[in-house]
Amino acid sequence: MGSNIFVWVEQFKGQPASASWEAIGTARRLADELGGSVTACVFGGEGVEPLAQEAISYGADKALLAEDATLADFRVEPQAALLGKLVREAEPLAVLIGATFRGRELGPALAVELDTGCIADCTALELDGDQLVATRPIYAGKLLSKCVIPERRPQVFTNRVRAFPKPEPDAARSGEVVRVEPVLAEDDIAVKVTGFQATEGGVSLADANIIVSGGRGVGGPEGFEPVQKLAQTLGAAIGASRAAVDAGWIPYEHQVGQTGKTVSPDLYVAAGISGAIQHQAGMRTSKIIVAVNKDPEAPIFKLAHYGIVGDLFKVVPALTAALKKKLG
Amino acid sequence: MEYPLWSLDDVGAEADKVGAAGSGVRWPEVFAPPAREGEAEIIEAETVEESAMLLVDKLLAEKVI
Repeated sequence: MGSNIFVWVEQFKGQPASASWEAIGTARRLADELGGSVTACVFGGEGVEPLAQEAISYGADKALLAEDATLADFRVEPQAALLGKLVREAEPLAVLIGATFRGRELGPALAVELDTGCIADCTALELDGDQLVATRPIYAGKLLSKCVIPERRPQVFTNRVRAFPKPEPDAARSGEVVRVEPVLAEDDIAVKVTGFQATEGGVSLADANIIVSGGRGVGGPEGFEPVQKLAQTLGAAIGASRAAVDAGWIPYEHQVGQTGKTVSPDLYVAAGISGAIQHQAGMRTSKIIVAVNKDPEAPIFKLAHYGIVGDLFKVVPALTAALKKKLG
Repeated sequence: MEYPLWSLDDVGAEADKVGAAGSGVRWPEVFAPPAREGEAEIIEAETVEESAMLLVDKLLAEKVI
């Protein structure tokens, strides 16, 4: 069994997922400790070749590149079959996959394919000899668990988006790019992608550095207006609590929390959100949390780093104005 | 209504592939996340505008905006 680490590089129409570079950064750190190497797996349609070099610039030693129409739009079967075959051949110690929607599907499928274990949604990964020890949140982040895959190899992990630092790319890094062929033919793949439907514009919650969220306190759909203005000023994504989504004030795709998205931005502004445990589950790992709420007893103030007790319809516009003044 | 009770044989599952024994993952440790240091800093000034300015200064100092 080697001391190499494989990383699956996710892309959508040639655009890479940041979580994959975060995975490569972590794989690099672990491989350096082990004296091993990092192999990036880039599987997509025609035109994904530049991602192989990009993966190397982020820290991979080698990239396995497959360009084929069957791999163009993500489907778990051809990705897992090809990744599984390459992993069986190279016998890496571990496989890292960004815990995006696609990664969360691929990781367990790969583990089944290889008859090994998968530890999902890791927020830390350390070495204990050649055993990787993962930390992952359980019970909506109320507890953390250390997890290991003691006997089976390789160890498969999905890394929570933004939980690991994204390395600085170094264009001067060089590495080998090896072309590989898909394992499944189109006829072998049950799932067909029939098309994509774009949702409204704006910053995606998962990748946002800053998120401004509104809750029950915004009072109605029009109440999101000051929240949107603040978000626009900050270049932030707009989030919402379940209360605001259930009330029909904002679409579900904005929901942060246990039954919505889990986010971990640098800055999370909660406006009119009391901070129920289910909401906290989706945002508690944010680096800095700011709460604006009328109720000084709201649980969100127990989690927040900074708070302003007051009417969000006064405080949020004042924040927008202050930011415009300070940031120019 | 009555729910049928299926055994591993009924669903064709292998005993060594299910339950904790069938999992490749072990949890040697479960612990509470480290408590965040200190309570929230509540920003209070004479006016809402002043509070907002103070908060923006804090966020600039934290380098998150």
